[in-house]
Amino acid sequence: MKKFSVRVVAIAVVMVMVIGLSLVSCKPAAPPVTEETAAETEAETAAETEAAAAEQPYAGTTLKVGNTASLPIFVKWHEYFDPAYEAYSGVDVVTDLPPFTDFYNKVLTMVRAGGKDYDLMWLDGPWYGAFTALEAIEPLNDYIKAADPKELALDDFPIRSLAYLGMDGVHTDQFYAIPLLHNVGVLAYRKDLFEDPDYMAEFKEKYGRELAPPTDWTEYIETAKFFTRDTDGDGKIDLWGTNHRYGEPNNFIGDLLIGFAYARGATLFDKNYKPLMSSPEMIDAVKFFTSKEFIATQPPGVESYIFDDVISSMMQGKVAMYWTENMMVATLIDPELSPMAANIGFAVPPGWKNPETGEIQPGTLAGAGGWAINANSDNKKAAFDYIQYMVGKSNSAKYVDLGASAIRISQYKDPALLEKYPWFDLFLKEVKVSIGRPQNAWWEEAQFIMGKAGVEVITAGKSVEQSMKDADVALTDLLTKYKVYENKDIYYTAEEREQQALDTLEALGIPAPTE
Amino acid sequence: MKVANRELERAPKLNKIDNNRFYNNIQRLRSRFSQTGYLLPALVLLITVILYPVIYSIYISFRRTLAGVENIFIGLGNFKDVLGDTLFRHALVNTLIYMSLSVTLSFVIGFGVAILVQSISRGRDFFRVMLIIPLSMAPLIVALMWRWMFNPLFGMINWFFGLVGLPLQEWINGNATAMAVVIFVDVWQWYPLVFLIIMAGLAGLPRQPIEAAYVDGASGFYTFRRVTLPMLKPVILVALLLRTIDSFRVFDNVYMLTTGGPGYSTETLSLFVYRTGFQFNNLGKAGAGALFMVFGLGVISLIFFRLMYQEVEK
Repeated sequence: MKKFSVRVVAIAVVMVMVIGLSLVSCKPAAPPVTEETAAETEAETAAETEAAAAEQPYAGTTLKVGNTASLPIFVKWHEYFDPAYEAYSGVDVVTDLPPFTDFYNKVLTMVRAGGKDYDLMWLDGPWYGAFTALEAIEPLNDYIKAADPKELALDDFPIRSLAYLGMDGVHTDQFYAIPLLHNVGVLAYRKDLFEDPDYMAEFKEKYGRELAPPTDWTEYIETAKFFTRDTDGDGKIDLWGTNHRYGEPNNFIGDLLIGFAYARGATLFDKNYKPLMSSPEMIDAVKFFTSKEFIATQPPGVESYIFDDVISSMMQGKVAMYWTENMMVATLIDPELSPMAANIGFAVPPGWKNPETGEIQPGTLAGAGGWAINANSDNKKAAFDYIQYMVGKSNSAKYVDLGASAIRISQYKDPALLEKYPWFDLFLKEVKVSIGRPQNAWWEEAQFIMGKAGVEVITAGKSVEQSMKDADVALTDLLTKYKVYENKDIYYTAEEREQQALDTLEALGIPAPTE
Repeated sequence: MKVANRELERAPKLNKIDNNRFYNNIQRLRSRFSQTGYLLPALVLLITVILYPVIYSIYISFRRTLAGVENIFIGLGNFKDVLGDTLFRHALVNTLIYMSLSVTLSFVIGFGVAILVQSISRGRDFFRVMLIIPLSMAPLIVALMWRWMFNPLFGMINWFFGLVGLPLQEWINGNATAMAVVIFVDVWQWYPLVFLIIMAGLAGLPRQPIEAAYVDGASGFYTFRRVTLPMLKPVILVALLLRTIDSFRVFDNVYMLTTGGPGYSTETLSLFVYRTGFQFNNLGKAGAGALFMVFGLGVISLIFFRLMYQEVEK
């Protein structure tokens, strides 16, 4: 009986498979074709195929794209550009969007194993060095030379974007990526609070000036203190001035560089890669960032806040200000994602006021990165075509509208776009003074050492001076292991990096950008 | 003619004997090779996914594997590096704290609940099913769920604390509370494993010694302490061994809840190895760290196996 039922099931499965396959392979019958029309149709089809091959040289290719879903702006771009590129090119685009936290590890492991899981992938700027050291990403100069200069138009990118997001800081005459997004510091603030007549009057009475987004560190801490309060009268504080990321070494160093260290004039290394974490400027910046007075203006538990926590606080209206990067603008103003969307304004982040000159010194991090092509890919040309399609001039308007963000000079300066996105003007100002992180193969570990030193000030009660000195020692050890001193590697300044990018453009016959 | 016939009669007989011998030889060979054949897929799998990575880890732990730097043999360099790393020492201490508290609590709760459920006659199956629900959930989902519950600003736990007038806590964001939360989540998910093992152990115990103890006038507690518990000892050791190994190599729970923070107050050995290998791209040092972990697990397992062996011998 058992044997019989097994047989019946097996026969049934085979029948279902056979019938299913037959149905799938069935096509509607073709209309009858006469001998006369057959020749015409054949000629037409051949001509069409030839034209399609000329217009769609990569048709039939499957392009595997890697990016991260952690930035909603990237997801929006892929949702639009992937199907659009498929229709335009005949290429089948398969995009993988893992979370940012694991993306670097995933891609690095893939290329170390010689994998082809991605033909092209978005890489964060500081990661480039790890990939170029392994010769895992394709040098792009030849592709750029062969591209349509009016469509790719590298001269339409700010030179600083090309210097930090197109090159790796080690190879001084080679592009390895095409910038997709240039992150800079931006101060998001709650307009409903800053424009509230009661708050305005109270603030003026207390500080003797108008309530407005702060322009320097002193104003920042004053404004943050002012808004830290109990708004519903139950005796418990329910609104805080601001919030930053202290919780994890990489987040800590990110916020320190976005907001404070570069503005204070600190630098991470000298020309010969001697670490400068214990320089007076860096110590000053860390002291401000980790001071008890400043932390008291932030929600309880901020000592362990990471990426998700700070943006959630802003979107939920728990903080009055949020010092972030332009990549978060699209999320913050999206009513479907942010309950505070209609109330959020953007301003230039506060700078450091030089007590001697009274001048406010700006400075921020050149964050994010660009598209790179996997050196193991079999579809490198198609991959470059996809990149050009997404960031090229033809799709410039769509790129901006989807992400509320700009990457090209023509986008930052377009009067129509400026009316819609008034903060583009301040973004460009920030882009021009932004400084990127080192991009060497050892950066991830160096960043962890620096961030860990900062975190120890907060969590272990270590003095800023001691912690930064310890970081310098650990960094020197690390760089010795990587033979940085033995090889006499050079840490280039922002201006030197710009010059390298300009020289590379010139060698490729591309005019210098205007910004 | 007769002879000839006899010869003819013998021929097939001989053939039959030969055939039988041949058949027996084939059968013998088949049975000998079939044993190996049946084992072969498992052996290939073991060699590919366990043996090769282990040998490769040992190999790279003696080499410098930094990107862009010459890959050379450096002896015990990576092991010295690991031992000299303050983060490794923090991770080791954290792992030991995590392991001891998590194992103790999940065992005490799991054991207690098993005894309790075993003692009830009505609804035993219902409780069995309800209590093992956490075990059926993916650890990543569990960690994500609790991460939001323990969020100091928006989480349900603080909302509840506020409701009953208790002071709000920083939970996963606090230096003092983060480790407690991580352990709590681990215990919440894994005490049902202890519960299941103990329940199975209790169900398999012979009734006669227990009944004999009652007949002799022993109290319930005395019977439990002197009869049930000693008989359960091998099962208890298995439960403890599984939980100890599990909590020693904890990764997903901590990674999702705190990523080792605040600072590195919840950094564990697995996290350290992962960070070193994949984030810092230093596979040699990560290999050395992983070997220390394997050594630690080996020692723990050895202790447990010795204890179990002693029990069996008794």
